Parts: sequence; structure tokens; C-alpha cells
Amino acid sequence: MGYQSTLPPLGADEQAVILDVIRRAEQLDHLEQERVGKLVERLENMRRNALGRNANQCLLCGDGFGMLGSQKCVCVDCRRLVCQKCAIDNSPSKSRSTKDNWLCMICAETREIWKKSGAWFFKSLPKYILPGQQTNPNRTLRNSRKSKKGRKFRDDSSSDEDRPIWPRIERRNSSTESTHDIQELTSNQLYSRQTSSSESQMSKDFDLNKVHSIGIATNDVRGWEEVDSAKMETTSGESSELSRRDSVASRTISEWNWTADSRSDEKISPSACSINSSIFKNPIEENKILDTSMGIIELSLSYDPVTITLHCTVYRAKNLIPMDINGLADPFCKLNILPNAKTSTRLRTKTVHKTRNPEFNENLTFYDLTENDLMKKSLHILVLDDDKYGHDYMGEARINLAKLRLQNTVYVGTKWGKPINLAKLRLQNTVYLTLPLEKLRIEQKGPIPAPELKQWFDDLWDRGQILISLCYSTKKRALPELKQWFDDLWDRGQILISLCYSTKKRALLVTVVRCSNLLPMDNNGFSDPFVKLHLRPDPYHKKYKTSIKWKNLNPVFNEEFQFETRPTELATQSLYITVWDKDYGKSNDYLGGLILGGPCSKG
Amino acid sequence: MAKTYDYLFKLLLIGDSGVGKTCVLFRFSEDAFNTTFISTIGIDFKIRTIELDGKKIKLQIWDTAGQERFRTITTAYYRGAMGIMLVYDITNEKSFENIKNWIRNIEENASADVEKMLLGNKCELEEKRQVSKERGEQLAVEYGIKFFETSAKASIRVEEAFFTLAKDIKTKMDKKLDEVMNYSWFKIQC
Repeated sequence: MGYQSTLPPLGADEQAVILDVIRRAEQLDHLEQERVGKLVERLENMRRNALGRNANQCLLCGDGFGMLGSQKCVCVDCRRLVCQKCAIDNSPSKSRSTKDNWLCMICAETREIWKKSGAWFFKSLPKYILPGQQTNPNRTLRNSRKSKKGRKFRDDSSSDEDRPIWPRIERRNSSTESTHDIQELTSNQLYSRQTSSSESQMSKDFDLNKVHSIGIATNDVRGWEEVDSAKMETTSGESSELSRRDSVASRTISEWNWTADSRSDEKISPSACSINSSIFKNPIEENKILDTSMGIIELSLSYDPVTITLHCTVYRAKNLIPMDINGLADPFCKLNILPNAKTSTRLRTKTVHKTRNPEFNENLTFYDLTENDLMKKSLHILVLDDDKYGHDYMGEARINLAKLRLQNTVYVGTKWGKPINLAKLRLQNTVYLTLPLEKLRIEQKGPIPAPELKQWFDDLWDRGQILISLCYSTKKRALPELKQWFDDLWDRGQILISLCYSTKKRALLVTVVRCSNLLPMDNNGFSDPFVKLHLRPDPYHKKYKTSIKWKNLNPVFNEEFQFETRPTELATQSLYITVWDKDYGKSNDYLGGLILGGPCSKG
Repeated sequence: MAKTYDYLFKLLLIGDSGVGKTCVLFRFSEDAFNTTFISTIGIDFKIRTIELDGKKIKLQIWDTAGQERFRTITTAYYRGAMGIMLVYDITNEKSFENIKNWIRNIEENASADVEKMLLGNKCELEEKRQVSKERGEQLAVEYGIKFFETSAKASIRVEEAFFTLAKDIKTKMDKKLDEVMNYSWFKIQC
């Protein structure tokens, strides 16, 4: 922009011409926003009208699947089950793959909106005006991801002359927005009292602080929902007819949890049809249907740039998995700023005994956390079972702090891939989050179609590359080998394990070969890793530990363990593999882990 | 404006002053030609709705001033453009050489995904030609973009150029969507 000073300034007539063009362009943009608004409304109506309540029903029309019912397909975008009538075949004609590529109507519509609104290009929806909102011409989606687009619009009309008009518009913008949002809010509140879904938690959080910024979050969610899993949308969409349906909804949710909780064949069934189609196009997909079992956690975050502290309030967790024989657990949370964990960045809550729905209500503060740190680090929340003999893993969640700062939004990998807006963080307000705990996940895929098969999984919970070679032998088949790479963004290290079922010993043999590139947890830059194994559910409650490899980030174990079990049972069992850092005098640190879902081993 | 459309593509015309950007646009939008040279002030845009594969596509085509003094204003529009046409004048060597600078301008200011196209305008003036078609083609190959020699005056390949660009954008859109959807999932999960 600097070089304009050397050039003659624009004359008044020229300015007038340019302003006129800009005005024309604004009109056009306005029409376009209305158009997009109509599309968005249509989509929302569609979501609202979705009838499916559980995995046995079509998401859209609610028809049951089954022998007589319609055939089910899995939408490639949202991973929901829909019947064929409500899905469209998305396979491009040139596609060589024979696997199904279905899109549910909602996702198809979402895609269409992305095309029609230009979001495909700008990677986010532009601002839009919902019909019936004509008086609020500048309602925006304030998602940070939209800011690029927003800026673009601003640029469009802000040549040097007219810049002053923008603040005005912005202001108008925000006031109209907030009124609208309050309506949204109230309906959400209504809903929130009724169900235990995380969605409702969010809205409950909203009514805790009735400030304008909340509205942004609401908008945001809505914006995201377009991209987001339709399931969540259906639940939220119900708010209007809630009084009638609430019981149904909450039941549905518990059903969902239950299905996954049972951690058995059943868990696989909803996803089976997609999963069988070998390679995931989308790394997250598998998680969509399955990942409800570990419960949720509610917390809030706020960052104070003056004192460079991050305040984290952990409220409660819900529906945690049972860990003890009595079917309960003794959970506590460990909060960690990763990577590069210092002692000062590790905090824990008190243990709440004998419950699966602990109320923590604790404030934890991370000091000395500069904004630079925030850019690089993530908050890792680990829920552990306080056991006399060490801590067992119950679930975890991760929040990328960089995203908090940079984009005001955090998208937390969740059971429904629910985004959580942290716009408030930047405004120095408090952010309320509800995150489902992620499982140590990576369920194995269903029956292995080929004896040798390579599959890429993108690991969702930022776990690190985990290379597993699975050997499973039965009488019928000699050691078919399955290799899987679990790819990840945050190198938490790799583990090489071999599994093999010995028919002679009637036991599953697990050999932990080695780990590599583990996270350093100790001050000396190393960790003291060991691997814990247990099979669940296991009548014998066997747990194994490897030896501890001191000061080593690439330990070689080569240790073999036996889990006595029957091949038939194996199908319903999951192997939990967790890597820990041994610490004396305090509890061990969690380095990483995974679950190998039993059903894989069916061979 | 009551006309409905499926997609809205925003295009941008850039190039040196006097190469005929406005005329090309005028030809495309009104199918007319004006011999008098009126330098564009800052920016302008025209609308035309076309149909491709049964989809109505509204093209909002931004015409920019080639003059240096409007550069601040014009570059502001790069970011929003899905397709950019680089126009030079085949009777003007300088305008061809400047294409490189315009490309650099695009790289600095436009979205990385923007679809580009090179137009050698005024191709009806064969006798005054300074830039051979081959050189134009070669440059286009160098940048991996498409190339047309057009004439706004004689109405040669103007339609074709715009339709091709729109089609390329549409193709890209279809391809891109999967990517974008994945990308958004990816974001959700982080």
C-alpha cells in the first residue's frame, strides 16, 4: 500500500465512481447472503425434521433397518446410518473403487451449500442472512474460520475512502446478532435441562454467562453443524418440539452410549458396513458412530494474558466407564500441557471415589504460560482411575490451545465431532467446554477380508504413530498378518506389538516388541517407559506390565504375555495397551495407549 | 436479479492499462464493443449468468484498472476471486512482458487455489502483432495455465475463454469439495 503516496490521489469524481461500484457490489453481496441464508435455513429444516433416533433407524426418515426394513448405508461425511432412500450415491462415475460412497441427504445438502455459497473456495461459509431476518443485513457467522472470508468482504468494500463506514456496520451487526441469539439461547436452555447430551451441556453453559459472546458461539455451532455430524444436529434441532420428545431424546442418547459401552460385537455392527470397505477415506469416520462410550467431561478454560495464566475449571465427568469390580470407578483428572510437560504444567484434581459421574468442581491454574506457548501447546485431559496399585486409564481429551488463540475456536475430537467455540477466550471470558472423553480408541476393523492388508488410520486423539503388526493364528489360518499404521499429527511415539492367539495354550500371546519416539516426560528429557496391558472384559482380571526401561525414549521390550481366553471370547474382548512413564514418589505419567478392539481378531 | 442460479463464481480481469480488459468483459457481458478508450476507474464489475452441465452459474466478473495508481484498490479484490484472467495485448510487447509481474501480484494477493488463464487480446490486429501466439502459449505452459488469443472487437474466442474458465472452476469445485469436507473434519478433530 505504501507506493500509493507517490501517485496522485484519487479525485472526488473518481472516488464517487468507485463508491458507486462498491455500493453495487454490496447490493449483490446482500442478495447473495440472503440466498445463502435461504439455503442454510432449508438445511436446518431438514435436520430438524430428521427422525432417526438410534442406530437401528434411518437418520432421516426413521425407518427401521433390518430384514424387512430398508437397506442401510453409511454416509461418508457424517457416518450416520441412513436408508437407501434417504441417501444418494456419491461415487463419481470415474471412480474405480467399488465400495459404496453414500451421502445422506443432509450431508448432500451440506455439500451443495458449500458449493453454492462459495464456501468450497473460501473453506468456510460466508456470512448469510436467514430469511425472516431481513432487517439484520449484516449478520455474520463469526467463526474464526470465516474471518478470512469476512475480511474479504470487508476488503471488497473498503477501498481507502469508505473505510469509516465499517465500524458502524460492525456495531449494528453485533447488536442485532445478540438479540437473535438470545432467542436461540432460550430454546437451547429449554433443551439443555432435558438431556444429558454434550450439546445440551454447551447450551447450559451458555446460560451461565449471558453475554453477547455466547451468541457467537451459538452461531458458530450452527455454522459448524452444517459441516458437522447430523446426529448432533438432530438433537439440537429438537429443541422446539422438546417438551414432547425430550424423553425420547435422552433415551436415545443413553442407548447410544450403551451400545458402544458394551464394547463388543455390537459396537462394530453399526459401523460394519462402512468399515468393511477397507480403507477409510476420512480418518475420523470410524470414530463417528463408535466413540460414545467413554463418557464426557465438562470443563471451562480461560486465559489471562496479563498474568499469563490459564485457568481451567473442571466441573464434572459423566458416564465414565466402570473400572472396579463393583462397577464403579475412582476417577480423577490429570491436566497436562503438552508437549514438553514440565512439573508445573501437570495438575490433577482430587479423586472422587466410587462413582462414574464425578463432580470435581475444581479450579486448576497453569502459570507461566505465554501466548507463544499457547500457540504450540495443547491441553491434555486424562481421566484416570485411582487405584491403590497405580492408575488406570479411563479416557482423555485434548484441546489444542493454539486453536484457541489463533482461531478462537477449538474443535475437540468428540463422539460426535462436536466443535466447541472458544471465541470467548480471546475476549478473556471464560469458556465452557464439554468434551466427551475419547477412548483409547482405534477399534480394529471388522473381519479382515484379506490375509494381508495394510490400512491407514489417522489417529484422532493425537496419539502418535502406532505401528502394530497383528499376528493371529488359528488352526484354519496360519498367521495372517495385518499391519496397520496409525498416523498422527502429534508424535506420541510408536509401539510395535505382535499379537498371536495360540490354540495350544488357549491364550492370546501379546509380545511388546518396542516403542519409539515416545514423549519425554521427565526433566532430564527422557521418560522411563513401561507398557501396561490388560484385556477387558476379562474374567481373570489379568494385567501385565513390562519391565521399566530407564531413561529411554525408544525402549526395546521384547516381552511376551499371555491372556488366557477362548477364541470365541476374544471376539468380544479388547486389549488395552497403555504406555506409562515410571515416576517414583508420584504417580506415573501417561505416555500413550491404544485399544485393540476384540472383534478384529475374529480372523 | 430475480434470476436464480446455482453457483456464483467471482472472476477477475487483470493486465496492463489499455490491453482491452474492459472490452473483453463488455463483449462477454453485453456482446458489444466500444471503440473509444475509456480508462477504467479503480474497479467495476459485470454480471452474466451462464449454463454449464445444466447448472446455472452466475459470473460476477471484476474488471480492474490497469493503471498503477489504482493498484491498492484492485489488489483488494484478488482475494475474493475464484478465477483470474491475465490479459495482454498482442500488439504490445510490454504488456506481455508485464504478465510476469501480474502473476507475481496474484501469488502475493490472491488465494492459492485461484484458477488462472492467459488471454492475448486484440488478435484481430494481425498486422500489428508483436507477440507471437507461440510465445503466449509457451508462457501459459510455463505457468501451467490455459491460454486463448481473443478479440473483443471481432468477438473471437471471448465466450470460449470465459466458459472454459468457469468450467475449470466448476471442475475444481467438485474436486475440491471432498478435500474441504475432509479438511473441516480434520479441524473438528484437532
